[in-house]
Amino acid sequence: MAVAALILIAAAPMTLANANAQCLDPTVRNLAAQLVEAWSFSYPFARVIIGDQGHFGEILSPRAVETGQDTVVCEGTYQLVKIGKAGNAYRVRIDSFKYRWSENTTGYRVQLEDLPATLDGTNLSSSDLIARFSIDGRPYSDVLNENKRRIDRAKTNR
Amino acid sequence: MNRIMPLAALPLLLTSCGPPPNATEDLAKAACQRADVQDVVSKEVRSIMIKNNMDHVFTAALFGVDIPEALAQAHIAFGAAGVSDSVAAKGPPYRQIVCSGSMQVDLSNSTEGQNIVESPHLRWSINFAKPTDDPANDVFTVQVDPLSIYDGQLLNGRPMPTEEPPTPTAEEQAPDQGRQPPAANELSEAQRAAEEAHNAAGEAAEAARQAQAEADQAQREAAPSSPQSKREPTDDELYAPR
Repeated sequence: MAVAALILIAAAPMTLANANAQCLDPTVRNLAAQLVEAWSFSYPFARVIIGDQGHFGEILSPRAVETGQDTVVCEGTYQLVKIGKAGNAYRVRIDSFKYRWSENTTGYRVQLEDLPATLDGTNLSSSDLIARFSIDGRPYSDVLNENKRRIDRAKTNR
Repeated sequence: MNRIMPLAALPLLLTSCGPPPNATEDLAKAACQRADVQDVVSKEVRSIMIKNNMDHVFTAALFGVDIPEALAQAHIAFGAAGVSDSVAAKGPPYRQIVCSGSMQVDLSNSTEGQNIVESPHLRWSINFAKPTDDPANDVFTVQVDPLSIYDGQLLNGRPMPTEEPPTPTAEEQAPDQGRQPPAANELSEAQRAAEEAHNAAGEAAEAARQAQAEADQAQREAAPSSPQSKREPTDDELYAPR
């Protein structure tokens, strides 16, 4: 009887408290920030606004949004104070971004859940991705439009 | 295990200590560790950091921190300071002793959290108006090596975020290749430029850098009628906020 009870406990899904604890864990958040850094090199725009400073980013307000037997999907805000080539500093944010914590035989792993390594095979476009970013509180797409206008002006000024 | 120490061996152990420590090095080291010297060094470092407050790397790494105020209230601690120069080994009388040590500036508070800046290779010299035999007690002035404040500087144990300076020469020299300047060049230029940026002349360097950044921007926007204006815009121009 006691043995059966133990098995039941082991098979019980993770409690919300435990799940949130994994999302909050500083090491897990650190890994998530490093993953965002690595991810950013797959997209030219992300490489510029995140790039090799990505690991300085923080995961704010992380919370568990999905729990499984030995896996948790966490959602939080990624925020990085990036120093640009012009010597300016700006705050890059992804307001809602997900990462997954999952237990395995050797420990645990952390993966990005909603930042795809490539857009191929997804139904996402780059504007979908770009819409998730903000710079100093403004949508990143505004910044891109400004840059485009500046470049066009420079071309027509010839 | 045999724990019995033969009593006869003890005196042998005691008398077989190494040769007596170098008296002259100790004297110079004592000067480096003087509390009043370190007090002056910390004031000097604070003043240099405040003057360099225009330094974007420091300001951006401590985003939102009121730097002059935080520095005024910061607790400064020195790690083991030692003599940095072989001049001191020559012995008294001393005119100047060069010291190095690590210094921590604790800017933490309850709103910002932990903000501990460490300069692991801080260098300063203690100067005496007249050559002295008693550097541990004589009156002195201090000169801090301003570059050493930023040499290997750490924020909460991690290296400060590195700043990539504008590299207009690299970009304009490769108009047809359009994009990436070789990584090695960029890195050494960045290193050199970073060192220059951290110079004690703080504001002058900052004004020059701002002027250069603005000149770069004006150059890009003005687009002189030369083949260069036909090149593709760089990733930075396309994607970076200005």
